[in-house]
Amino acid sequence: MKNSKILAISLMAILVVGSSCKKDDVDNTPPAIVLGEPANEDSLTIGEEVHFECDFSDDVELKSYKVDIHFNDGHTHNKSAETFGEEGHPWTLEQSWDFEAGLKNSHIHHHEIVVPDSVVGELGVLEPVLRGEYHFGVYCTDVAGNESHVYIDVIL
Amino acid sequence: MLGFFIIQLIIMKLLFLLVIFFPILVWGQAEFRVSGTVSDEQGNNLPGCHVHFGEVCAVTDNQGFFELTKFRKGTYTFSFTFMGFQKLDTSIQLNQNILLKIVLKPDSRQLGEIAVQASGFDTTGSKSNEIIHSRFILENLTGTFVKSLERLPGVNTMDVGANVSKPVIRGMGFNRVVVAENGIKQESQQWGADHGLEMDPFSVESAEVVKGASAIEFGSDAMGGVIQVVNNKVPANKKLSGDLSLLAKSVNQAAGGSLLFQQRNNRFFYKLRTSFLDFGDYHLPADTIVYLTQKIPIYNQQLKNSAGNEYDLNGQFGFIYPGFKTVVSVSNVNQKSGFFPGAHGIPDLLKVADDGNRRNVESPFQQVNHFKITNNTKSYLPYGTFFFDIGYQKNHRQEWSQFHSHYPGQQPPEVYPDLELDFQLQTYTLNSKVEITNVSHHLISGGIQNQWIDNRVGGYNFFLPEYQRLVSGIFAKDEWKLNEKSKLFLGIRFDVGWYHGSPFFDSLLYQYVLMLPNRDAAQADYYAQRSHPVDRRFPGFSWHIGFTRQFWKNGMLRMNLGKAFRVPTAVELGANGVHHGSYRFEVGDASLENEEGYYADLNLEYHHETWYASLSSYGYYFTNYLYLQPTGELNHPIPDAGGMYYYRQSRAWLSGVEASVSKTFFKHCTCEANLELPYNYLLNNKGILTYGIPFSPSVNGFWEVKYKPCAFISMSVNGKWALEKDRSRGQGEMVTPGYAVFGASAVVDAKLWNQPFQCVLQVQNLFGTKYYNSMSYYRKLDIPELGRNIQVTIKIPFLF
Repeated sequence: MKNSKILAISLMAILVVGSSCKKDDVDNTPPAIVLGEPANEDSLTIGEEVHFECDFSDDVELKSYKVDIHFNDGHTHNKSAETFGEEGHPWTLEQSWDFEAGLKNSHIHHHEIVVPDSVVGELGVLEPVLRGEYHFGVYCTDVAGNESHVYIDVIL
Repeated sequence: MLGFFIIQLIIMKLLFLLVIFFPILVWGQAEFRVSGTVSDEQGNNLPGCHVHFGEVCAVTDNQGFFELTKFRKGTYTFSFTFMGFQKLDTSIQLNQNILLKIVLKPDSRQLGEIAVQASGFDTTGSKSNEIIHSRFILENLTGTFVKSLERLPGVNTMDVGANVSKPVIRGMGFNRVVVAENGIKQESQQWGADHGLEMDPFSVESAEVVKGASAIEFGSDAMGGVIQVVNNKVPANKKLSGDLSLLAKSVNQAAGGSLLFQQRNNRFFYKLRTSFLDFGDYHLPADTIVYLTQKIPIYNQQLKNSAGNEYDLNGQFGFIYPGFKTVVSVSNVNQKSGFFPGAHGIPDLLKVADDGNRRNVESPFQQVNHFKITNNTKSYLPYGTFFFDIGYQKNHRQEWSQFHSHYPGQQPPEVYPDLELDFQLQTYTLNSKVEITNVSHHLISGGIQNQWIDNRVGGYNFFLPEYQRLVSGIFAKDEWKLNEKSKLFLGIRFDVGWYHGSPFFDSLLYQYVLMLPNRDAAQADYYAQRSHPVDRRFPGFSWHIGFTRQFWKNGMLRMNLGKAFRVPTAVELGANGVHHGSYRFEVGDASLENEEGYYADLNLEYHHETWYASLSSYGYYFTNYLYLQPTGELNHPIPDAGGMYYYRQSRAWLSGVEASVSKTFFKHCTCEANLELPYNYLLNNKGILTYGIPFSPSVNGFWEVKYKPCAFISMSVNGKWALEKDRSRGQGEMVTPGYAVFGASAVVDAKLWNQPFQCVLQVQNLFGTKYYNSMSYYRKLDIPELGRNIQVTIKIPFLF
């Protein structure tokens, strides 16, 4: 009898502990990125502005986006990237922009990214930008911290 | 006197266990006496043998005689323990005085199996546990020890490919689970998602998986549970014995084996074991994966560069004396395994092209060497038992990846140009404990534990700072027998941790940031300061109240309430930069406090003839659960990384239900089903559940139908399933679809030319289903779990 009581209480306790409490709806949906320009395998001209066109959208609120351009060399384990046999220094760009507060959708179109003719090399002197295949990445985050990315290859 | 003791221990043959009762009738007495003698199989009396019944412990005298009085009518369970012999449990119905003649069988490698069968319950602790014996490991062996535990309810694994796994108990992994070998806590790189557990799967003789916090016994980190591995059992006397195990797997063309020699000559014994495993790239049921929106081909459905190998050596030397045992163990585990290059950084189709060689390990890869030397000493004193454990371990982990991986346009270092990361973690452990057994109704123990950690780093990249940490703890606990059926467990522990983290300035990163347009020297300085000096003290306090009660005839109720804690890791305190393995920019916080959690759990277990059922529920309330929070900040100069993540502390609620049922039908057919229902969320300031806890499992289960027509063969079909992980996922975690996979196995125990052997045939993922494990390292890279695997394990024990 006493055992049965203990059992019944224990079973109830199991149900209570395992049952759900009040749960908030949280934003776990990353933003969407539709990259219009440049397109995969497009050529970018050295010394000129990049025509950048991209649509961002999120179910709650967009926060920031970032463009990450770097030479496709760092991640290869043989000399597979085409360097067109030229001398030069790889160019890298890491630039981020914040969206205006409260935006759910945004169409971005600008020419703020400029491919330079030359960059500062290791010895502190200007060197021409190395031609070849570059990674062009676009990152986007929402206010909750969810993020998404798109990567394409571009030729300089 | 000395010679006399030695004679007691000389055992010439291995015989079967014998218990003979000689009832003596005494009339007209309400209280009964239990007395008897304890001897070995040769009839030599064993003085100093411990006779336990519940809380009382008697010790046999010089003639091996013992006497216990004042028993009332009823059934009592007695256990007999003597170092070097198997523990004997026996249940006796008392309605008269009784004289027992106890014969103990020498301790041998079969001990694990017998200990489990001896009594229905392990009544020694209040926590829900699973005892794993050598047979279970043989039947479930998959290449790593942890992976073979996956079928247990409440136990999951985090994997990197086929040969790297680490345990998750009750939704907690990393530094929230303790793995101890012979009582010494294993220290490796458990904080990171791409590191496994360096332990020879063949060397595990038995193990205990404790579910629930065990802070009193282990201090910091033992929040989700503890896996205690034992491999210092005393072998059979005189003869040279051992076993040869062989393993072959189809999924990655793995070939492995292990050879053990062991011998005991009365007071001394030794064991020597060597194991190896060599495996190729593993098969996965996918032709392409999608990573960072790019389609990456998987040539021949083999994950390139997932090959590897493992070489292990174990040696052990033991000395046994009546009432005293000391064992020195030395082991070295060396593992090398490749990382899939297509998803190491930015996707690149050229890197995943088939190189025509399935077994080569190329860059990037990791190499780990874990060396360990430990000593376990146990001494039986008249009033109790004294334990002394001392250990040194060195975990040396290297990650090799061609230079230029991260910051383009730089020259590699002159020495080891491709050594990206190098961690040398040295751990010194010194534990001592006393168990007092001669206090009626109480088993009191107390002890001191000390652990000194020294971490050194190298390589051209940086992730973890150099640090030193000392954690010292003092504990006391009592196991109080309230009555025949109930026990109360009380425990208290104080710890103090001292942490010193060294600063690190990444000059490569400094140059790189400086070179960028729109970044200045101050910013370069900020990002290049990868870690700041940290000097902290972390006091910790834990307590535990447990209660067990037997109900009906074969039921057991266990309850626990307590508090556990964890000292923050070096990464959590000092990270500032991109985690090489996850490509996340992580920022630590030197002001973090100990993670503290209050827990309550309840377990009901019931055996009845062919039935077995167990139901557990648990809940943890954390006041400051440590986790990595994404912020969406993108304004940093580090390539290949998205938003910044910060180590933060939040209130959290982790709970769940575990159920297990098994029933044997018609004597030959056993059906088993296990279920785990986790419910793990962070709590906001208002106490409302928000995001899920990262790296915790979704609702999952395991079932098996086993048919054993005769003693030497058994066959089974089994399945593993999990529900979709969406609502309960952590912030930034991907949705992982549910799955159901099937398996089959056959076990044969046979003899060939008088030589017994065991053969296990297993098929895992029978239908080659493409599925994902939400906790695996490769999940976020869209790499599914392993394809169909057919595997053969053969174990040949021998005796010369």
